[in-house]
Amino acid sequence: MNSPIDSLLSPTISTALFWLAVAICGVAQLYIMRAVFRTLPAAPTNSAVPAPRRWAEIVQVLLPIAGLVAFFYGAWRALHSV
Amino acid sequence: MASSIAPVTPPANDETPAVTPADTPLSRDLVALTKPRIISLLLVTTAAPMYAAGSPSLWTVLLVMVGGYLMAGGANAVNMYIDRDIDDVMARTRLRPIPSGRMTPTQVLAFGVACATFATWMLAHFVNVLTAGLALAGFYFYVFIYTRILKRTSPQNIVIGGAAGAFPPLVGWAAATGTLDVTALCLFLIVFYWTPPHFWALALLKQVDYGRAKVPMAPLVWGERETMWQMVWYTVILLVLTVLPVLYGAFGLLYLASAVVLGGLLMWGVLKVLRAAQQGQPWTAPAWWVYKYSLLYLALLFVAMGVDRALSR
Repeated sequence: MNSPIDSLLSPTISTALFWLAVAICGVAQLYIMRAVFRTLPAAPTNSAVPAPRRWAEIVQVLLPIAGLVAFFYGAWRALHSV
Repeated sequence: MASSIAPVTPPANDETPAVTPADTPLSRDLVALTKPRIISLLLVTTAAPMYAAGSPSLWTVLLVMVGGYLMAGGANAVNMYIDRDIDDVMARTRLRPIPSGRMTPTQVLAFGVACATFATWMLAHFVNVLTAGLALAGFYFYVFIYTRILKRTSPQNIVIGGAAGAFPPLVGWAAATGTLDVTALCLFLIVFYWTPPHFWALALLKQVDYGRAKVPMAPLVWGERETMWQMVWYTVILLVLTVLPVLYGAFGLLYLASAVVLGGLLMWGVLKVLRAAQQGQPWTAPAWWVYKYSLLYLALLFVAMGVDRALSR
């Protein structure tokens, strides 16, 4: 039941699934970024809270992407070392 | 290692069980300062990676758990010291030891720093320096990056702040292996991407409280609908991250089945919140469900990792 699935998949299918995962995460991350950039110039919905700082918001939305890229790079190497 | 555990607390911070009577004994207040309910999840995300990474001795696991609790507890106490002004404003936190007057801010700060200091020494001395360093990094990230800087300035506070809560898997991994690898990074990212949908579900429900405290949570800055869409996108990435390690053999079919079923339920819940809002129906019940289920989701997912690897050896 808990056998490694990598031994059951051909390298071609594994590679295809890997790139599918990258594509899905890329699209989702784009929508996340879009929301942040779209709301940057606007005032908060609730005027009681402080407005976010533009540069800080941009940095914060880019940082997770760096983490994802690092992981995908590591996963790709691990996938091809199996 | 402790620090790693502490980080996960960012979101949890707002969930502290603060309802204690005025005549609460000091010992009970000290325990309350550590936010034990929140730490329990951090301990799961610390212990499970230890078993996923290797075969740690019971003694090592015990040390990491105690060190992790103290580090996380220390971070939570310092968080209460820093947030004492807004804790007094929010109904949910008004009964905490400082706003209720049962402890002074200095006492709370000293307790938090003492816990973290002892945890650092303990982990470095009995486990390894990498584990202690990661735990301490989590402590600092939670206290300074999340609580001091992000929480009151950015609607993405719990996104980046969530990294603090993502340290525990690194701590557990480092304690078991003495090093970190790509799977450890994946576990970090899983907790990181799990945090927004989990915490924004609560933020949607507690908007009045956060507005009163002037904390710019996403629903107050982006609006409810946009926050719900963001929960969907973060959940999408989370689900992909949970299954990807299976591709390169880090986990097996038992874990894969767990990840798919648990993740599918989480996505169903998040979409239910969005759909209810889009149709003009009440979304508070599904939001509560997402908030509570996401806690169970993370715990079960990490347990599945540990069991999967333990069975394969």
